[in-house]
Amino acid sequence: MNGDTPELKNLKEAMDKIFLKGNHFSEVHKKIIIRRIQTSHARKLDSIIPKVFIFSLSILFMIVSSVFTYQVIAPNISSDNALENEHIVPQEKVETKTQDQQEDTQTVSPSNDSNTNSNSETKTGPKTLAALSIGKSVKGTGDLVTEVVAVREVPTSEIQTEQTEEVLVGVTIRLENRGNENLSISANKTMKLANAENELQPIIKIDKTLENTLEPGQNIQVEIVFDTSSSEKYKFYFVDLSGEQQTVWLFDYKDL
Amino acid sequence: MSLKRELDDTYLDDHEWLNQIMNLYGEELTRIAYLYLKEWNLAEDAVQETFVKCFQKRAQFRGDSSQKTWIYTILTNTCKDFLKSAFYKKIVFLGSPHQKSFPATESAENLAIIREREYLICQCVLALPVKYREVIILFYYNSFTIKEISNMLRISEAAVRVRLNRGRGKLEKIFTQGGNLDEW
Repeated sequence: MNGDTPELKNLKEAMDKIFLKGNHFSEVHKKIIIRRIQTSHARKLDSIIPKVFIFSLSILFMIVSSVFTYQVIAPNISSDNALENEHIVPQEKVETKTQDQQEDTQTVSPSNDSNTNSNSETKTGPKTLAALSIGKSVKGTGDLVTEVVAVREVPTSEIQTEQTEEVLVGVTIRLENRGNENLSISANKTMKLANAENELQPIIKIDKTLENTLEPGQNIQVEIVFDTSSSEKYKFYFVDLSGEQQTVWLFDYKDL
Repeated sequence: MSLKRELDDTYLDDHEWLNQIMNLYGEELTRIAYLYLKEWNLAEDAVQETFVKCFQKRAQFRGDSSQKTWIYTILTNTCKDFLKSAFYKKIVFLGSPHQKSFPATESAENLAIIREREYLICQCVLALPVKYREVIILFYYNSFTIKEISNMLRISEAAVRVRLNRGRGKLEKIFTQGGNLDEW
C-alpha cells in the first residue's frame, strides 16, 4: 500500500461516509463553549480588578511615602545635619533658647557695649544667634559659610618690629561662597574680637585675599590679626552680611 | 474608559472572532478529535477545550503559521492530553467504538465490496497507534502538507515522512492478512 492507494486517497470520503457521518458540532456545542468562556472571563475579571486595585493602592502608597520622605523627613534630616555642622540657627530657634543663653548672648554683643571701640556704631546691633567653638562653621546670607579654623598667638615679630606687651591674636577663618552671586566681605565690618570684658580689640592685619570678591563656589582661608590686651577668654564675632545677626566663637587664651 | 469596559470591548471582538472560527472549523475539529479519541463525547469535550484555549491564547498567536494550522495544533495537543489522562485510560468502551452498520442502499454486490474495503481501511486507520494514525489522518484526511504536519506536531519533516511510510506499511500488512484486525 502506498500513497497512491485509492483507499487512502479516498480516506476522507470513506471516513465521512462511514464513521463520521452526520453533523457533530451544533449550535448547542457553540453555546456550551461560549458559556465556558464567559465563566472564565468573569472569573478573570473578578481576579484582575482586585489585583489592579491593590496594585494601584500600592503605587499610591509608594508615591505618598516617597513624597513624605523627600518633603518632610529628608529636609529635617539635612536641616539637623546642617545645624549640627554649620549651626544655622533660625530666628524661631533663637527665641526658644533658654533665658540664660539669651542673656549671655545679649551681654556679649559688642555692638551694645558702651566701652567698645568697634567700627560698628549701630544702636541696636546684630542679634547673636549662636556661640560656637573653634572648628565649627555657620551659613549665613548669600549662602556664605564661615568657619573659624584656628586661633593662634601671632609673634609680634611677624607684625611689628618692636616688642610689645600686647597679645596678637590671629584668627584663621575659612569663607566659602555656596551661593550664586559674588560676595564682598569687609573684615572691618564683619569681624570683631572681644576680650573677657567684652572690649573689642582692633584689627591690625587683614589678609589681602579678603580684598577680592568671593566668587560663587570659591573657598578661601584668611587670617585676621587682632591686637589684644591679655585676656583669659576671647569672643570672635562674625556679623552676617545682612547685618542683622552675628555668630560668636568662644575660645580661651590657652587655645592660642 | 474604565478597565472593565476596555476588557469587555476586547472580549466582544474576541467573541466575534470565536464565532467565526467555530463556524469554520467546529465540525471538522470534532471529526478529527473523534479520529484521535474514538469516542464522540470525548471528541466534543476536546473540541470545547480547544476553542476555549484558542480564545484564551488568541493574543499569543504570532502568525508564524496559518490560523488553521495553529488551531489544529491546539486540537492535536488537547487530544493527546486526553489520551494520556487517567480518565481516558479507565474508559471501558462498551462494544466497538466504530459505526458498524453499513448504509443499506441499492445493495449491488460490487458496491458492497467497495464499501467493505472502505470500511476496512477506515477501521485499520483507527486501529493504528496514535503516532501513525495522526499523520495518516492529517495527511490523507485533512490534506495538510508534510511541512504543516511537521509544524503542528513539532517533529521534523523527515519524521513525518517516516511515520507516514510506517503507517502505510502497517496498513498494507493488515490488508495482505485479509483485513484481520485481530492479528494486529
